[in-house]
Amino acid sequence: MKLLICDDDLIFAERVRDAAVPFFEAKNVPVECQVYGSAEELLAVPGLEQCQLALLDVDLVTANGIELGRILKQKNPHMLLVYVSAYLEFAPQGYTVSAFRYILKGDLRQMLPLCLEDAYQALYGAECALTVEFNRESRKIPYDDIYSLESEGRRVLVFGAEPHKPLCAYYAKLSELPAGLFANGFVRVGRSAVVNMRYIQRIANYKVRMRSGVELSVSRSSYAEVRGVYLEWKGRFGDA
Amino acid sequence: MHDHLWVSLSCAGEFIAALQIETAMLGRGKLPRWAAVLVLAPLWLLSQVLWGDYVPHSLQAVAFNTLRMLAATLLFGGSWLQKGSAVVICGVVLLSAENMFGGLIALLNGITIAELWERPTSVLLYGLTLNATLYGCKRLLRHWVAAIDPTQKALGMAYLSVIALLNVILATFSADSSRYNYLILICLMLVLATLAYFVLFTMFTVRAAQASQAEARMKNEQERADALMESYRTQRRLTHEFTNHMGAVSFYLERGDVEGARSYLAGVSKAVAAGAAVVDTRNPLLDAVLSKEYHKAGEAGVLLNFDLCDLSAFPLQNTELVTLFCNLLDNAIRAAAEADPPQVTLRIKKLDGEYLVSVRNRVADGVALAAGELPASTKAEPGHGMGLANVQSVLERHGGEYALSCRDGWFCFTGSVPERNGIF
Repeated sequence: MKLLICDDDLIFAERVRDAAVPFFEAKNVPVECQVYGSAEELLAVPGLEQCQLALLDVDLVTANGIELGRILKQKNPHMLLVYVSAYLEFAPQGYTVSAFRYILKGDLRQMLPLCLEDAYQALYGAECALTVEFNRESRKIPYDDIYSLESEGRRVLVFGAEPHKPLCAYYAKLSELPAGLFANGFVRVGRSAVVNMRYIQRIANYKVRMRSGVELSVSRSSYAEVRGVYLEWKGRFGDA
Repeated sequence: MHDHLWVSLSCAGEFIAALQIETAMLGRGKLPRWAAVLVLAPLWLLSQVLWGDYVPHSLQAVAFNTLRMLAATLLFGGSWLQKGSAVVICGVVLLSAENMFGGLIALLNGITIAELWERPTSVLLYGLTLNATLYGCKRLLRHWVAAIDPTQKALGMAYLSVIALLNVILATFSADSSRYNYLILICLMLVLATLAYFVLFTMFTVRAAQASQAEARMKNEQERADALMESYRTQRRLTHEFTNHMGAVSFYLERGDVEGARSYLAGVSKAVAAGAAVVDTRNPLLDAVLSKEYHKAGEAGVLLNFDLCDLSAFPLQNTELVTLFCNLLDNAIRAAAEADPPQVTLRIKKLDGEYLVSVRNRVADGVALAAGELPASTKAEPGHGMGLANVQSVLERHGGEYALSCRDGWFCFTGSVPERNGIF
């Protein structure tokens, strides 16, 4: 993992590095950490788009940390920005660049471990692909490519963006699907279908309408529960 | 046979009265109430014909009717304790009514109670009066009875059981005599006095509880109003200071001392940092509320994270907005403060024509959630436990919905508020 730390107070930056690097190494994530004392120094480095996590001071002497974060986000929109500042007044600006967290320097000892744990979960939380045995070979289908899984006889059909045309079909039961699937935004809507909530357009009148245009029935007994699970998912991840 | 018929007729009036009491106290069971009454009526009549040949007010009569009333409760709802209570209430009401009616009419006519019950008109009149009175009382008391607390109910039941026993004894001894009429009247006055006591006590209890809750709500609203007023005063003070700072900067610039002006501005910038809003949602009230909650979380050692969007068009009114976020975040911070690590996340996003509000907090212990019910309050003070109910009421008023969950050490509240449409 590529980690950037930028703070004009280099002693403080070293403290942050001494906390962050062992944290990720303890989780078997090799870390390539670089510490910079100014925004200019950091921006001169090639390959910033490879960076996954940046811990930045907001109140840099020669530049604004928020602007620096904006440039880094342009290079890699998936980069997690964590601002570490002595001043709370800059926090609102942090949200303009979708900062992952905003930590006060005074609270560093308490807050940094929580922040790093959340960053780890966001970056390496779980395997995001379904492994299936298809045509006598093992194949991984990314969760993001799956719209729904439907049982047909003894087979599970995996559907993607194209309606009524399965990506693949394999011998299994819906009840045997891995728990990781459900932890990653899938919900069972009836006896014969599991859907990816990311691609639900709406749930109404005991039917789930997918963004692909496909409609699936929701069992009456689980309708309220499915709506609740979908609402919770939208609240946590919708428009992310 | 004639006597038997009149006893049965008398019992029919009391049967209807007993059903009135049991339906009111126990509610519907597996069968609808009308179906339960239709099933019970022939059974009651059959048992009366088969085993109804008893001496009124004898031990056999009391046991027989108690069993019948208990059997009837099986077709209604309620727990076994409630069924038992309903039978006791039936006994008290029926015996008291019979004694009161019999004693009063016998006294006025100068006859014994036994002679009175031999007259068909007396039996018919008794049945009608009893049921009409019960119906009236039921309608009058239905709002208050639900508010009686369990201890009061238990004490009341014990007291009513003693009165029932007293009525049985009095009725047994007074059946063939006129000397006990005054004693019966005294007993009935005691029953009336007791009922009046319960009615008044319940009324005062309900009013006291309502007053207490209203006071707690007023206190909460007052605290919030004070906080907003304080925020307003701070704003005015800052505006005043801002004017002074502008004057100072102008002074430096007029003298051509740019470095002095810059240095002055840097000092001012750091000085106002503590009072600054921690979020910028383009909704000033929401910024103030969330900043206040952020500082509150900090004082409680809780890490409060925000993930927000532009909320300038958030569709709630000011008071509703304060109710929603103060209640949700207060609850979340209180619960997270006891958890390890203490974390709360507030996320508000606009998606598909609605705003989604997600408040997640760590919890020390799992919270048991029943489908469709709000979790029970863990606080005993009046006013607590109303928070989520108020939140629910705000969301429902705007056509929103909500979901609660608690798993993996996180309690999660998610609510939706439809975007405001139309010309307003």
